[in-house]
Amino acid sequence: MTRHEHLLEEYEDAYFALLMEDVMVQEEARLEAWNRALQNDPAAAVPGSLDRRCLQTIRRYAFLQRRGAAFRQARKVLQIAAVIAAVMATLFTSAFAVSEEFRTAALELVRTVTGQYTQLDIRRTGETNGRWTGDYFQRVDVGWIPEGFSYCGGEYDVYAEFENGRGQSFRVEVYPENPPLDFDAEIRSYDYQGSVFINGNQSRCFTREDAVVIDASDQNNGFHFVVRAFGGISVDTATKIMMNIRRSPHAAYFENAEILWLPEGLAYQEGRYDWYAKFADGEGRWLWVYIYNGFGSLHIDTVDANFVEDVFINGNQGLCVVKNGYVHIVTTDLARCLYIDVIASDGFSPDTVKEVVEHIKLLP
Amino acid sequence: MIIFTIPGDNPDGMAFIQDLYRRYSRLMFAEALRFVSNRQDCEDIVQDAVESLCQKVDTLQTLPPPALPAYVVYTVKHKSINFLRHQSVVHRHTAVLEDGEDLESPLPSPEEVAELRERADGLGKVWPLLPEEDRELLYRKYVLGQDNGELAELFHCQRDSMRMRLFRARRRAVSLMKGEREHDASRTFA
Repeated sequence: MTRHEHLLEEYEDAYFALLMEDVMVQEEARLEAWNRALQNDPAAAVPGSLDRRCLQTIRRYAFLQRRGAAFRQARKVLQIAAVIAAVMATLFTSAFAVSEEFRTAALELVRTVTGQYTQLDIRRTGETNGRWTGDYFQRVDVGWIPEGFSYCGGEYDVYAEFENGRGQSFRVEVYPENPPLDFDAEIRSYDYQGSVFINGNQSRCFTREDAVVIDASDQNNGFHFVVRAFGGISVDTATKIMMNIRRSPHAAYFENAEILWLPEGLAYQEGRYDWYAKFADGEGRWLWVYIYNGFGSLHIDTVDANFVEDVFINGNQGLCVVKNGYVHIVTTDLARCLYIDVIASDGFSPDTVKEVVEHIKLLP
Repeated sequence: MIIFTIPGDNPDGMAFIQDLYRRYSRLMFAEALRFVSNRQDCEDIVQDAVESLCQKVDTLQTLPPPALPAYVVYTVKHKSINFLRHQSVVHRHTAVLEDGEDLESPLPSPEEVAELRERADGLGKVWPLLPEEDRELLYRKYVLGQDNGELAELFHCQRDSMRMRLFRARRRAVSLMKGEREHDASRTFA
């Protein structure tokens, strides 16, 4: 290419880059209008199976990216870990052979070999055609599946069905807060077997011919679970399925916020999704996080407080109050119209609670 | 259980992709349906597209927000075309630079440039009149910032051929902006 041709090409590129700015805005408007029309068209809904596959793809890609970065730095540790894992695999194999319960909720050693390292993972999985049991619901894990059963269909974050190919099947349903409206009407045709507490949750058992229905209300986490078993699955088996359904330890606490850091030792206790989450440690200390819609007033007790201070965290104004040993920090996100409210028991310093608030990330 | 605590290279990236998918999942599926009628195949195409977006998350995060829906749609479009390729349905032709072809651009004079800048929506008005491939080439080159090498790989042609295709696309765009209509039925636009 001659120098003239090169300069001409640079000129053309700059000229078109300028012209294309308006085209970019124009095209965005066209595609957003199309997208809006699709959002309002029920026939344009994406299949639930596709949603699950794509979100799973994104989660797995993020997971693999994070692991790849860390293992590049931890090669020597892995070499030692490989020996340990080989021993553990032998022990697991022995346990698997002798214990039916262990076998049905076995740990699985997954080994990935590359040219630079061998990557080891110990995972918990049921017989679900290789899928992780956490993949059927956004915030709930189906922690145990009877031997011989595999996932056969469902709608992501609504229900999951499993079958064993011998005429037996069961279905796990997860509802927010309350059972479906027609549940009580449906269950009238069943024989009531009684109620028990499963995982601290009030649950009821119903049977009819070869069907079993168990429902349980997890009020602490805002779920209502239903297990329906067909084809002669026993009440004990259905109960065990229900016993192992619980909020995923990886589940988010809020729809549009993440808590990226908490003081060491604190573990989640209870909460309501997208409202509050309560954490505590084994030493009597606790810390609660609330995120409120900002359309109302929020009263903070400052009477006879030991310490009241204006704060400015993550660009949000707020107040820090220390009273009777408790630390209470509230900030206001004016852009999103939210109150971010953190209160902690005696044992946490104001700086520590401020750090928690700093690490509450609001998602766009 | 052995637990490895791992710092993320781009902890916001996957949240970004997840939000992008949730916002445009229907658009992606509808775009795939334009090329492939089987819904199961469309699901596979969209999932492949999501995987591509994951690999390009660093690039996506640097793009201006108005360019994101087009990037997503073009990604699905190319996954669909690749799918059809494998089905032996789509055939592409590469254009080869012919000897003696005039490389001089029909670009306007500096005075005309000033006038066109005042009417910066000139290209926007004729944009729908451009062939679809021209539009995608120009959009990818000047909005998404892809270089000739990337474009050549995407459109399955040689780098030099890509330079020529861009040149022709620009020439057609400018001709339309100057009020000329060009009908070139003798060429095959793959």
